[in-house]
Order: sequence, then structure tokens, then C-alpha cells
Amino acid sequence: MLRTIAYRLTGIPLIILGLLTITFILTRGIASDPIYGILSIRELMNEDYVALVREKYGLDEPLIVQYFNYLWNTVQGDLGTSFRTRQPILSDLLAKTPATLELIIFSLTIAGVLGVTLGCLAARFEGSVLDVTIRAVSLVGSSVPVFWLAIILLYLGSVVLDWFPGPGRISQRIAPLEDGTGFFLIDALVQGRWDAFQSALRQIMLPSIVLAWSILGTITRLVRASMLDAMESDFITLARAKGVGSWAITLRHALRASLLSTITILAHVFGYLLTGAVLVEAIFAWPGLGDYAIESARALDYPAILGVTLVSGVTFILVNLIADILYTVADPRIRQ
Amino acid sequence: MTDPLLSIRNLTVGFNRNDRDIRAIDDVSLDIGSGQCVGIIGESGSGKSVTALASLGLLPKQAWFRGDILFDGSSILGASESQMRSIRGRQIGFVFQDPMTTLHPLHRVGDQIAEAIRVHNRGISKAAMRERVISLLEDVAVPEPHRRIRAFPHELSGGLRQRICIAIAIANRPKLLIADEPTTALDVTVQRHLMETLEDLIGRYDMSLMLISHDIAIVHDIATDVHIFLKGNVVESGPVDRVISAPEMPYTQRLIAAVPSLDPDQKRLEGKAQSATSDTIESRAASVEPLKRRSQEGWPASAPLLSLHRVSKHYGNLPRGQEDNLDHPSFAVRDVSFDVHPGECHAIVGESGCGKSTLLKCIAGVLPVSDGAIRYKGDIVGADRRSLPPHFREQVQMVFQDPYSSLHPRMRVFDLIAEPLRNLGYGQEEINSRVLEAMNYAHVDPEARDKWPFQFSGGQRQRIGIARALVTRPEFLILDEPVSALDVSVQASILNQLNDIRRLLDLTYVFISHDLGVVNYVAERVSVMKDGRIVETGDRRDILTNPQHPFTQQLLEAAPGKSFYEHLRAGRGQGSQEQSMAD
Repeated sequence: MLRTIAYRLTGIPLIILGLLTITFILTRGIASDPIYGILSIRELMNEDYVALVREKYGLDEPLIVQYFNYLWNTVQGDLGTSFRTRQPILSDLLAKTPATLELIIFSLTIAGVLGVTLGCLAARFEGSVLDVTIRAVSLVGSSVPVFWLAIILLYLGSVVLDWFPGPGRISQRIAPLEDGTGFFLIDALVQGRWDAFQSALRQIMLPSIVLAWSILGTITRLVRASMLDAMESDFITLARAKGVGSWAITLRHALRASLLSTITILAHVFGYLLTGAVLVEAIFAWPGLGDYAIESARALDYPAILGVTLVSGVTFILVNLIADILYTVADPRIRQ
Repeated sequence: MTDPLLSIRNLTVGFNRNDRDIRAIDDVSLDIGSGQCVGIIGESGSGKSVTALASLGLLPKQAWFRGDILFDGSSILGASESQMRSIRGRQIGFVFQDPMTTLHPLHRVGDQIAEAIRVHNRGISKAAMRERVISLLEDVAVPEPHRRIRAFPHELSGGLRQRICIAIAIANRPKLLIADEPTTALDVTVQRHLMETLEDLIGRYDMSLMLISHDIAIVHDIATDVHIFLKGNVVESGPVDRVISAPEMPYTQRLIAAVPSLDPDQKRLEGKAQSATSDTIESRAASVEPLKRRSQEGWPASAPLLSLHRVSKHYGNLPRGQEDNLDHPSFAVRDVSFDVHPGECHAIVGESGCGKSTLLKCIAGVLPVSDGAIRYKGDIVGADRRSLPPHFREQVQMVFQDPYSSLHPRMRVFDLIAEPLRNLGYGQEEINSRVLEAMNYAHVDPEARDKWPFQFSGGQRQRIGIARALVTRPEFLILDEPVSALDVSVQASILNQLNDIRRLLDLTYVFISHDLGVVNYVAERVSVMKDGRIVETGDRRDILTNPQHPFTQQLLEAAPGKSFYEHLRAGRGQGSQEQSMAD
């Protein structure tokens, strides 16, 4: 098993190289000259200045040279400087990534727990009113556009009902947290800041409900389907012939057998969440990667775009690696 | 007589599918007394498994029923779910057909046995549980129970898995054991030992047994009474000896006559009623362009058509220095040599995992051999995939084991049969006439050309598979267990048909089988294979009557139904003429 993981790890640099290459070609080959993102219109009039700036950012080199420069710098840990924030991309990313991961993991937990529960219930009572309701709701859930739901929930939850605070990651009124992991919920707990924890929790609820909702239907339906598949198996009939009760059959036998596909489903929707977070962060003013990606794209800030791509790519690869490791934990047949 | 333990009374079970009412069993009545072994014999779709599931109250949700089943005097079908749960596993144990799928793949076998105990004995201590599980494993003769208790199902062989299933079934010393085709998925030698274990346990714990099987021979070895099922009805019941030696109903007679035996003077088998005899084959053949005696042109009858010389095949890379070590486990085929002469049927017999399928793929030119040479008409086959003898793809064709998975479900019958010709680049007109010809030989109704595979039964599908093989007008057929997935009466008619086709078209066969009875019926020469080696090759009669190798003897010894064949011969009045090796 260790060998399999080591083998997978050696593949990661190759995948990342491909990812960066494609993104580089897409952003530089198709988008317009990044110089327009760096300089104002007035500055662009001054040709000498433009040439100077081009040289400073290495934009005067042929594209292929820029590409290899970029790769070489990336390998050394230098992702370049943002045209927009004038900060090193790396420090920008380090500041933004925890916010997004916190949001995604929180959403995935909600959707995972809820989706597996609903999927189990629907499969256990297949064909009943409960099953039909759950299926209908998941279908509607997957059909509702995320941005629409986000705006409606924001309006209802925070304006009309005033149950939740407005956009943002933590209330401006409380003293800021000290630097830590960047995961506010964790930092607040570690630093014993109950007020900050409450605030962060209240702030994360709405955006994560929106994100969770967007994947809940998929999880529910796939878990239900794999549970029903498992229920058809001979070993379920054997369990019934043993005299095992129907709940024990659902949980100990069918759900256990569906565990592999559940892991696959969760790893798969993680990718959706990475994309979905972009919209949700923009609407909820969540200072994460998605927000950063949108602003960078607007500003033609290509080193930042490449940086976001790199982080998302690496995250996605790591999630799949974790899923692979979980497979071997869940299934003794893969362990060999 | 006291009340029977299990009494099925006028039971009718039906399924509603797409508003059509299909009856699985119709007005079935039968009793099983305490300590009695009752056999239920029937072919697929005869309703025997439904009867078994109904006895546990495990009918599918869509099923409706009439009549009742009484267990120990109380109604099963009227019982509540919680009452049933206390009966299942405690009063009635169940052994299913396929040990590969009935155990949960992700739980340790010890835990699966323990669950069966715990469901009916809450609060049993861990140590006591372990002790009981181990003693159960000893009961079912699982070696090294202390180690096996922690094994996962995939780490055990099919035979061991079925022993685990039996341990689960008898965990609470039930009064009744229902075994639904318990040994069908297993090799004969394994099957033999398993049946002995089962018989021993039933005696020891004073259980009754309902043994469901398609195999008359197995039932005959163990049961006292037997019920013959046909299309959801019991057509004949009675003491097993009487039913076998003097069957009253025509269906029972046909069923018994369809079983290929180990008798070297085996008569023509009785196939399914509508199956054709050789004259109809010939009359059908006459209606299409004659192609008799076309094959083996220019090849002398005395020279081997196919010749294997010291063929070995291994998978993966061998460690350095081990390239010639045939005992290395990577080898699937080890130093195999034999010849097949024109017009002959050469059978390869062996148990699962013996390497016969690998050998067959090498002969078919699908897998390159690692060492040695396969020659077809003197030309090398299988040195590598691309260099096949001229016209090899046309002259050598294959019939596969499983007619359910070997036909593409989204292709119509015509296209399925025509595909080899399309690959060989024939024109549409030629294809049309050749497909019709092949359908004729293989007894596929020409009307079937636009139908889909799912519209056919197993036997009809296998005929389509045979037509697909015949369509290139081959000289040589490779048959990989062509009848092992079929019911016995269908098996008989397919075997008859294969024999007829061979004679009529002058074909040569390599026929793979695990069933010595089948081999006895079709083959002239037999090779016995074990662990990748051919341990014995000889004429069919010699192999059956005078086996030299201990493994061959063991195979013959393990073949089920010794008492059955004795009865059969006594019934046919020819028992004294031949001394069969089944004795």
C-alpha cells in the first residue's frame, strides 16, 4: 500500500506541470497583454515607461522564455508578484487559502453528514413518501443555481429575519484574532476566544449552507443509488437469513458496503466546491481564493491566476490522494 | 407419523411485473419431517429457489402469495417480521449458492459468524463468542480456525467460503437447513468433501435438510425423498430411489436421460423435447449450399492438425534466474504437449485455476506463449499476436462459456453472427447467405435475426454463439465450457448438436470442461490438467476405465452420484455389461 501511495506521489509533479502549462497557455496565449492590467491608461501613453515595466516583469521576453522562467521560479517557491496587490503571490495565497478551505470543509461536512443520512433513509424506505420527498428535494437542490440561492438566503437570513450576520468572515466589532492557522474557527478555539468563535461560526453558516445545498442533492442521490445496489447483494439476503434486523442491515451491511462509493462521491464533489466557492465567496464577501481569483482575472493579473490554479490543483490532487488512502483503509481487498 | 417440521401447503407465489402476472410457483405442497433429507430438483426458472426463500419468509416485496407454509405448526407467511427474525438463523439455517457473493466482502469471516450467533443471543461475552466461532469452524472442517477467524472472504478459496456459510447457517443449531445449490459453483473434488461435511453435520445435530439442486446425482447421494419441479409445479414426488429408477412422469424420465454419465458406453442423451435430431440437421443443411468435406483440404488425416510442443506460459515478469523454473507460481501453463488430429474432439479436463483457460487463449492465438510452440497445420501460432498462420482467424473459431455475457447486449442477432465476417472484410451478399447458413446449422430460427440477445434463453443464446463460430466456415472449434452455464436438458441438446455439427462438417474440436460426464459424451481423446501441467492424456475409454494418474482417479472418485449411476444402470438393465469407473 505504501508503494502505491509513493507511486501516486511521484505522479503529482507531472500533473502539476501539465496543469500550469495549460493555464499558462490559456491565460497568456488567449487573454490580452497583461501590461494593460498593470498600468493605467495614462501610464500606457509613455512608451519608455511601458518598456521599463515590461522589462521589470519580464514581459519583454518571448513567451516561451517567460514560460520557462515561470516554471523555474515556481520550482524555487517564487510564484511572482501580483500586478494588482503588488504583494508576492505566495503570501497572498497563504492568506486567502485557509479561508476557502475552512468554508469548503465546513460545507462538505454539512453536506456529507446530511447527504449520507438522507441517502440511507431514502434507500431504507425505498418507494415510500419519504423516499419520493427526498428524491424530489435533491433534484430541486441540484437544479437551483448557486448564485440565486446565495442572494435569496442572504436576503432572507440576514435582512428579513436577521438570524445571520451579513457578508464577511468575522464581525468587525470584535478584536481581531492573532495570527495562527488562518482557520478562524480553529484559531478562536486555540486562543480561547469564545466571542470570535461565535462570530466566525455565525458568519460561516450562510455561505456554507449555500455551498452544501449545491452538492447535497448529488451526494444524496449517489448514496441512495449505491445503497440500493448494495441492498440487492447476496450478502444482504444472507444477513436477513441470519435474522438480522433491518436497521442493522442498512447500517452494518449496506452502508458499510457503500463506503467505497461514498468516499469517491465526497472526493468528487470536493472539486465542485472549489469551483462553487468562487461565486459564493464573491456574494458573501468571503476573503478567500475564489474572491481573489475573480479580482485577479478582472485585473489580468496572470501570476495570481496561475497561483490560484496551482493551489486548487494541488488541493484537488491531495484530496484524491486522501481518498485513495481511505479506500485502502475501508476495503481489505485493496490493501493487498 | 408426527406432524412434519416444515409443511408447504398449496403455495402459489406470483410476481407483478409491468402489469403482467408471472407465477413463480403454482399450488405447490410438500412436507419435510424431522431429521429428513428432502431434495428439490428442477431447472432454472422452475421455482425451486422461490420455494426456499418463501420458507424463510424472504420473498421479494413485489411478490404475492396464496396458501401457507407451516414450520413447527405455526404459519411462516402469516408471521410478523419480528417473529420471522427469531426463526431465521435460529430455527432455519440457509446456505446459498454462490459463496463468492454471499459473504460480506468487508467484514472478517469470524465476525460474520459471530453476528449470526449474537443476533439470537444478546449479551454473550467476547471470550465465549470466540470459543463458539472456533468450534463452529472446526465443525465445518475449516483448517487452522484460530487464524481463519480473522480472514476476509477474499482471502479464502470458494470451498472454504462455502464452509464459512455453512458455519453461519448452523451457528444456532437450527432444526432445518435449507441449502440452495450449495456446491454448484465449486469444483467436483471440493464439492464432494463439502457434501460429506454437510451430511455429517446433519446427522450429528439431527437437522432436517431441504437440498435444492439442478443436479440429480448430488441429490441422489444424500436425500431420502425428492420432488421434481417443472415450471412452478411439482410434477413428481416420492422416495428418491423409486423416482430415479422408475420415474413415472415423462419429464422426470427425460431429465434423467439427459444427464451425461461416466459410462464409457453412454447412449445418445435425451435433449429438450423440441431439440433436433441429426436428420433434421442434415435436412436443414441440404437446404443451404452444401459445404461438407470442405475442411482440412490438403491436410493428411494422419498428421496432427494442432500440435502443442512443450508449451509454457507465465504472467508478468519472472525474477532473474527463475526464467526456466516451471514451479514458479507465475506460470499458468507448464510444459504442455499434445496433438489433435483432424476430425477429433480433444477434451481438456481440470478444475478452476488449473490453467486451462490460459492454455486455450494461447491456442486461439490471443496470448503469446512464453516457451515452446503451438503449431496449426505446421505453422507456428502464438509466438506473438500478429503472426498467425494464413487464414487462421477464419479457420479457427471459439465458443465461449457464458452465453449471457459473451453476446453484446446492444447488437442484434444478425449483427452478432455476422461480425466475424465483417472483420474479415466479406461483402454484404456473402455475409447474408453465410449468416443464414450458420443459423441453420446452429438451429437458430432465421426469424430471430432482428431480435436482441435478452429475448433468448441460455440455450438459445449459446446456439447464437455457436452460429457466430460457424459463420466463417471454420475447420477447428475451440469450445470453452460451452454447456456449463446451462440446464441439464438444454446441455444435452447442445451437446448432441455439437456432436452432430462436428460429424456433418468434419470439424475438429478442442473442448474444455470440468465435467467428466460431458467429456465422456463428446470427446475421443482426453487430457487431464492440474496446476498448469497435463498429468495424463489418453483415449476417453482408457482415462475413464483405467486412469493412471492419482489426480484423474481422484476426479473420477469425486464425481457425484455414484449411487445414482448404479441405479440408472440397474434401471436400464446394462449394469453387468460394463464396469464403470464410477464404482
